[in-house]
Amino acid sequence: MSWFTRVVSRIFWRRRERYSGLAEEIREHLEEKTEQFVREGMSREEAVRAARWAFGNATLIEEQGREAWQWPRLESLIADAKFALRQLRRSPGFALTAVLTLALGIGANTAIFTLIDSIMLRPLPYPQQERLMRISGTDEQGRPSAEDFPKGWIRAWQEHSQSFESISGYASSTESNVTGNDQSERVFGSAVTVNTFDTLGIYPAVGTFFTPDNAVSGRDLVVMLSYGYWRQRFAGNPGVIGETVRIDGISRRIIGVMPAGVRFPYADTQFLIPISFKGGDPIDQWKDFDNRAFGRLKDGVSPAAAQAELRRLHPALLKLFPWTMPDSWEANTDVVPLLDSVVGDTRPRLLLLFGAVGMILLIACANVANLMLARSTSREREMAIRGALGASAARIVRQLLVESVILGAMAGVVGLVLAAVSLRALTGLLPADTPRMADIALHWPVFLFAAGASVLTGVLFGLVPAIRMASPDLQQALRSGSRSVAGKASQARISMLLVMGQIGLSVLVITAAGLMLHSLYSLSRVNPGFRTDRIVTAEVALDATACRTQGHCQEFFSELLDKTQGIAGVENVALVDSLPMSRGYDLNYPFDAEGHPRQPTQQAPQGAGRLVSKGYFDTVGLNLVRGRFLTDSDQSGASRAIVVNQQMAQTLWPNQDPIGKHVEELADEPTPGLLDPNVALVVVGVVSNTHHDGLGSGFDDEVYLPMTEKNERPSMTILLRSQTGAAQTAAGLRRAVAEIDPLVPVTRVRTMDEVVTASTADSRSLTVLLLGFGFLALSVGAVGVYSLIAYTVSWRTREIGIRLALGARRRDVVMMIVRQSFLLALGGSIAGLFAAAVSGRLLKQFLFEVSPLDPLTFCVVPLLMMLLALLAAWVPARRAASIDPMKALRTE
Amino acid sequence: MTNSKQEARDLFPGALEMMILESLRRQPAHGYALVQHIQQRSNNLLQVEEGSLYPALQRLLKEKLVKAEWGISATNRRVRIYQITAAGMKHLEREKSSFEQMFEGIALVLNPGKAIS
Repeated sequence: MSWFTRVVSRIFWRRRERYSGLAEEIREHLEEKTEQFVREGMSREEAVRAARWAFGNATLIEEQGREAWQWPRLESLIADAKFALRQLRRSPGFALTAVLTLALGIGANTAIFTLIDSIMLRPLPYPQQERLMRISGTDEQGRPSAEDFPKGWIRAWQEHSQSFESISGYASSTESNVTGNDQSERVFGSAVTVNTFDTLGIYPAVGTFFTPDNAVSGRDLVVMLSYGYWRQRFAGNPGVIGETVRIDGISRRIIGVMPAGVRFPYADTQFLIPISFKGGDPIDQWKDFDNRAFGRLKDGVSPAAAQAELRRLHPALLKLFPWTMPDSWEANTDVVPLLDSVVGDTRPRLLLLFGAVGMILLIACANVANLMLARSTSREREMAIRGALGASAARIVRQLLVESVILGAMAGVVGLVLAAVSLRALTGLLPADTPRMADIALHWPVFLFAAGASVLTGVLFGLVPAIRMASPDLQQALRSGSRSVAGKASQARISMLLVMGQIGLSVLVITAAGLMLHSLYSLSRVNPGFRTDRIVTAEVALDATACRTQGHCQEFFSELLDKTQGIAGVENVALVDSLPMSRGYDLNYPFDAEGHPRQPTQQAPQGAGRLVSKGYFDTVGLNLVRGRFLTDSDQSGASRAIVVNQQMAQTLWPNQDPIGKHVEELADEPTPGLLDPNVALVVVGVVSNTHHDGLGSGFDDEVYLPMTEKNERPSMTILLRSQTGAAQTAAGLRRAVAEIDPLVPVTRVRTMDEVVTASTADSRSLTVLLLGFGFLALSVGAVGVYSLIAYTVSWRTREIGIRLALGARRRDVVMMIVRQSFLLALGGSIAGLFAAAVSGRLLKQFLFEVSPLDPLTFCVVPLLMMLLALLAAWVPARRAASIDPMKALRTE
Repeated sequence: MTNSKQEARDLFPGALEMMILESLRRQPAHGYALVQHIQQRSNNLLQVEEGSLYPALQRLLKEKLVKAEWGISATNRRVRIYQITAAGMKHLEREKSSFEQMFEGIALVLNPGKAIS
């Protein structure tokens, strides 16, 4: 901005200099002339007068000299602006309505643009962030499901790729116990490769980053803190560098703090530990498929070229695995900008909302255009006089456009304020996992956008009335002092078209909202396949290292089951390692099944495996289809019993008895299972399917495993079905846990209903926002209909008076007005529904079991519009009916 | 705004500028000297209001046809001395030839007899 003010001030400074120079020149000229006259023998007084006479009007000449430098256009524009402000002050009602209507539209647009700018457009806080790429794999079907790599794979890329300056990896987000003096807290952290900070191109706020040495197992007991966590837990004390913290029972030395504003790799990451390699262990670096990859492109290398290179490298790198990998594994490597991958599917949602608020702005513009048209009738004489005095049409259009742009600018300021005020509430309506939530703020592009939107809307709504007003029939306008009997047909047509357009746009927005609402309703009607009522869930987590002492975790959780069983009011208790419908759940259970032999180069089937206590089936209400549930005796591991769901039983063994069939879980290496009947797991029961991953997704193969000593986990989710309230049950749970070990944290206490509700947060948020915008569109549109009808009535007062005088019944008059409003709504609805049908394709990806041409929505919305039209026409119609013919005919 | 003197001058637009440029082509001068020069050369036939020179000079300055520098005049005054620029030269040539054409045309119309001979 500063260069602009510099240029402007320079221009004005130079002007001032020129003007004073000119004045001095003129003064000198006069003196020189005077002196000459004196030399020729005049008296001094006479000479001064003669010099002035010869020179002419000095003031005027000075002014003309200045004009040579001025911008006559700009300066007359300022005059126009002053005049426009006077005009608006003279009709405050009009100005207020117009500004408020537009401000709503501009405000909504600015607010949504703020989200778009903050989430989608703002660069990530890394230097040359456009060169940072997310590298992910997709299978041959293009599904991005398997996007995680073993650390050795990422290292191999780093060593072999020529397209990237460096390639780094990070592990999944894990919640860990960070232990202080008195209690543990659950904190999210992640492991990253030691070159992560070079790739990102950032420097620590305090201390240092990891060194290559930290990548060696045994020398990796260090930790970096996020800026926020450092401030919160360590009060921003730089002295913590070198101190140790216990994370999941392991002491790590704090070596540095991430820079402020960097949230990496996840929004809630509070600490980072290095990914380390065990030297001499050939399996170690290939076994955990838990890392995501990203890299920094070399200058001049395009993402497409880098992607092609990585795909070319794939077959060779695949041979580095110490075992045979399926050819298709991560065969299609994708390289996409990191920013795009962070934004993900929030982009289409934001764009949808942007579309909706765009409609609102158009509706508001149409409203104001109509107001201006109505006003134009009363200003017709003014324009005619201007025209008669020689103002060109272009000049009048400019004057009127200046007026509307000023209205737009005022609305822009109010709208910006509205957006700023409502931003917090808007952010609150977004799903909690929206990317870059913490970055949402008004940055300078938002102001630019608001300014642009204001000017553009000003032109948009000003142009039609301005052009119409600029070409008035001069004679007609000057001659007829009063309104004609029937009003002007052409103007009415424009107004009616505008109102129909408004209704059409409202219908479009409302239809989108209606479809989303219907979709959300369908989603909420889906039976998740398990009971959700009266269940309280909570996560109880031991340190991640607790299970190293074999049996310790199992012992703790059995004791917990016993203790919680005794809480007053509790009917059922169960444990599960991963709650259904909690986010980020992958198909974690690769297996081979009896009767389904497989080549090593083929992918193994994947199911959703859950470790459960025996009470799980009862607690969540799964139905037993065949066989039996898991029992206490299965916990020893001797029975090798598992329970599968109907879906799995039917796809693997159709028309066979699934009971007694063998299944083998595969470790990371995809060598086909041997299915030795003496070692493999045995199906002992079949239970009903659940939508374990979300109400909208289909059934997966599900496997329920008993909690044995072999597969014990440090962190489990407990489910308590209770007759007492959730708060009371949770309190009982906390007491029970504290009795066993006061250092074990109990977190994420939620009811099962809340868990299911949270799983639809994305849809709900979008629906709520669209409904809100739909309501806004409707109200602005309704105001439009109302003001047009009201205006028509006042316009037709004489006509109605004549009708009444000639014997028309008042009911007929009411009907006449209502019919007009009705026709407007009908026309607008048809146009809007047509547009909705055409653009429905865009909505399809957001809809669950609802067609973009959903008949229910397409019927309800026009009915709603009709109702609205009726309401909007009611007051004006009543007024029309109560017209006194005598008065109406007398008024001029 | 319009007074009798201006009407008497009856110059067509651009004429004053042309005369200024022509004078400056001969030698740089300050405003007062320019007026004197133009009046002398025209044998006082042209009733140029002295002041009207200045807006014309400002226009020429803006078009960058002349440039100006503060200096000291022969009578020891601080004056702005104007000088024609290369662009001004070109402009002057163009204007002069178009003016001559116009003048010739007008002369032909006004003196039809001469045109035949």
